[in-house]
Amino acid sequence: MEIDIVFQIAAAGILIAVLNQVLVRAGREEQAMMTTLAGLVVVLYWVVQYISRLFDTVQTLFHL
Amino acid sequence: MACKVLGATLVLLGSYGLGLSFAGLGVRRAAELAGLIRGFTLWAGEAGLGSIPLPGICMEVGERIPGSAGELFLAAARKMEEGCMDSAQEIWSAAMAQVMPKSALRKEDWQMLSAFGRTLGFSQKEQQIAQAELTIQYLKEAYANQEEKNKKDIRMYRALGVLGGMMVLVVLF
Repeated sequence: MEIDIVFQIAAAGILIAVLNQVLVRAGREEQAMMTTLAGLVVVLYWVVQYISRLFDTVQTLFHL
Repeated sequence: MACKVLGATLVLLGSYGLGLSFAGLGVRRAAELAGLIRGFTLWAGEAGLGSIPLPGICMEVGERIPGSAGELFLAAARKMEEGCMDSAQEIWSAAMAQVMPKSALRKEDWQMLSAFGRTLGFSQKEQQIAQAELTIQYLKEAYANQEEKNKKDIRMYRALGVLGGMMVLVVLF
């Protein structure tokens, strides 16, 4: 099982949280929100293939 | 593995340098505004004495002020001595266009300098000096605001540079 993706998502989450805080404290709330959204899109991009595989597995398992 | 570490180091250094260069823009603008304040103060003083013609005043100010502020006055003085344009206003605009690409000043700063240029060689000496003093006031305010902004922005851009580089590493590796 690929465990690296979990660490990658964790690292990305921590970095995005810190980036968000740095930008909010500098008074750039809009840029902070855009950075958070961009990070979310990146992580979803990583995760979507695993979700797709999960649905395929469920379909195969239950003969749906 | 060694290549990965080297690549990661280069990415981090590059992103930190990018952050520093963005922070440097604000510092450059503050330095140029300070130079322009000194330049216009000297200009107003020399113009008030009335002993030197306009090209001479611009040349003297340009030689005493370093950076793009001095270059602006020197460019204007040289164009006035060449006599290739009709009015001092056109010469000032041409000098601004020559210096603008290398400068860190903003659009509103150039608009204020352009407003000063419109009085050159056109209105009376007292009006030109008054316009110079108005320009000095604007420049002082802009300088104070920029210094205040720099205190926050320098730390922010450095942090953004490092964090952005780390994000690139997480995405790529």
